[in-house]
Amino acid sequence: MVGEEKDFNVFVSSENGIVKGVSVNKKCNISKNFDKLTSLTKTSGYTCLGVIDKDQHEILVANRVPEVKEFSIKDKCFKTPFAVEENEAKSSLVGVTKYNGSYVTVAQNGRVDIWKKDERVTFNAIDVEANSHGKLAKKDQEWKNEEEKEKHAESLKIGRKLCRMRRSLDPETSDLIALGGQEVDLQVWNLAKPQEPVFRAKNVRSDSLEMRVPVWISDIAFLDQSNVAICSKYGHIRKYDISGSQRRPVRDLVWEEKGENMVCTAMCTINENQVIVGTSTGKLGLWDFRKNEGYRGLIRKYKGCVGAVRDISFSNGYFGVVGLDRFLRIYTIKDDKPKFNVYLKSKLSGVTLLPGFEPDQEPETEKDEGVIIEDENEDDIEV
Amino acid sequence: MDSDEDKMKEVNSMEREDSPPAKRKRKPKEEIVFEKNISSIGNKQRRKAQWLKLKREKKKEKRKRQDERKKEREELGDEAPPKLVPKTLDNMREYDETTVGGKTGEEEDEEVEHDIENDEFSEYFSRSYEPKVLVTSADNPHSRTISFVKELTRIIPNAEPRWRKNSSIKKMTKEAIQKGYTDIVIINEDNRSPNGLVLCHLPDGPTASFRLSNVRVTKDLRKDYHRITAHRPEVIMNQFTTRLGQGVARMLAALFHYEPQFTGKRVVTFHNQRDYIFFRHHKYDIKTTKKVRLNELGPRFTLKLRSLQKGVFDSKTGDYEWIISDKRHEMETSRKKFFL
Repeated sequence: MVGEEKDFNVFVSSENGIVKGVSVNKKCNISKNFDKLTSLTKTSGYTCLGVIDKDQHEILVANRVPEVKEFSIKDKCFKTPFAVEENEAKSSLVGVTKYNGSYVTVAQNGRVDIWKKDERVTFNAIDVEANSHGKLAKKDQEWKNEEEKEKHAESLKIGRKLCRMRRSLDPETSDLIALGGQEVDLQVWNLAKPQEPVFRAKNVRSDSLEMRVPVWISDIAFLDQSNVAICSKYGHIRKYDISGSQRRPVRDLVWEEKGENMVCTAMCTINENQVIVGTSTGKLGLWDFRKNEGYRGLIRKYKGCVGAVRDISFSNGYFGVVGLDRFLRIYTIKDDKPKFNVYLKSKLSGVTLLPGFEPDQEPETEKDEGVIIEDENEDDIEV
Repeated sequence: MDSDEDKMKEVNSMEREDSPPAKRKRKPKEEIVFEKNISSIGNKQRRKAQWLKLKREKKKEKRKRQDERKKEREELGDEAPPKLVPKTLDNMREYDETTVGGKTGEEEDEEVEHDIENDEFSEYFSRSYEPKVLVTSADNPHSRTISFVKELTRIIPNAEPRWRKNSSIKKMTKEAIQKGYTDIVIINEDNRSPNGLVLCHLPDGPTASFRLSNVRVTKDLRKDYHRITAHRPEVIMNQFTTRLGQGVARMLAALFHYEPQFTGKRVVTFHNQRDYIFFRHHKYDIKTTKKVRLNELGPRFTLKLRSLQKGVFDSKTGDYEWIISDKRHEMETSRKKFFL
């Protein structure tokens, strides 16, 4: 079978450094590796998979070197990798995207860099978060010297790291990126104006024991132009309104089972009210934010996934789930069992379903028309 | 009315006259009885008697069939049809897609091999370090757990027992990494006997949680623990077929030194059958190529994998590679499906 002519409808990145194209069909599922096994090292593992826009002509993957690689879907090959220079201690990349032709990388230590041709624009999300805590938040705080201030700032940064960056795929708000992490609450930045964030979330009120509710954002999803949802490792699933003045979440739901909160690790939007959330034990749930308006919150659960869910991607009524159990599973929203299970042999870290994903289509087998046209041309030349 | 009674009597007497005597009459009725009718007999004693009769019949028929087949085999010699193999759960096991080696067991897949060779145990298998194991138990152990911990330190070379004294596992792992330990084994206790085993590979390796059952220490087996020498044992892993099984097998093998001392003739076996891992410890004696004697030395125990977590022990916020603790009904869909 001519493998190169097949259309891949899913692209997956793995933790040991392979980008795979998978063609999911009713007849058979074919996967192809676009990285060579022999060239893999310990630092080749891909930590994140980034999407630039809705049309998805390219996907971006970042590995642990750290390098950003751009993969063109039409040509099915990589462009030259872009090495991220870092003078300080290297921290792995958490999100990567492209803005106006220049790469945007987000590192775990909070640094967001826009690598334009001449200059490099940076801002640090964790700095912004730390500046709003402790003594740094007080405007009229007197400091003995700069050292003391820096020491205090450093102590406030301990235990904070970024976990996820997602880009808005809506064409009107495509400049917006959302960041969040461990003890770093949601921040939404506009890449055109990187001086300060568009939206910075405020933590919810203390719980019934008057204790501060901890924050550990594991995934973010843009619901529509003005709403952003997050899921956290403490089981919170929240919806924020970034256009409004309210900094606290508009909706705060908790995934609780048998008294314990589920550790949510991945999330994906279905529509402006619904999201799919995956946990570290392999559970998947469809959540609706219109709870108490006739909806239950957790509408249905999906079976089949065994290991921790790393990434979920939605397209055209199907969603694909990828995780530590080395399988790619494609589900429809209505059925609780997966429609397709594809064994992909390596632990997986990111997935994207191409727009117009339709696994029931017959795959193209031969391109007869092309061959005929060539013959005709040759005949003409000979004459 | 009288005439009717008389008629009935006549009919009965006629039946009796025509038919053979009463004893023989009952036999054909009992023989024709089908299985369905046995369960509809209300009287327990009679029902039991019928069932035993039916069982004897069935056994007779089976014996007959076996004898016929044996005769056939003897007559035909080489041309005889192959011996019939009974269906067992192991034979009828549902094929798992992740089986290393595919359906034949010999298929080589580059990517799977690469994945296995470069997992968290690649350093152990490249012989770059000698494993140093810390064996401990839950807080306040009772006598059976204490003796089991001592047994484990005897079998595993370079193992050290330590008592728990109310320290948390997270703190334990941090300190153990600093002191150069490569593995931690924690025996959990319930109802005065060991029931769980947590195996944690350091510095950033996976953590496996097992259910421990059927623990027999050398004392229970009437063996002398002084026979266990300090020679490094050979390790045998049986029937770990799937990708998950291979990962668990490598984890258990990484507890023992990579180079066994064959002069000691000690062998440690982890045998996987239907997701239960049986541990046995023998001393072997090879007399001729056909005669090998095995003497059981040390403890016996059975493990069943509960969860495999990526990273050092972190049950609250860690990512699980495989977990069955909360999802048995979802995952155990058929009697013929096994995971290791």
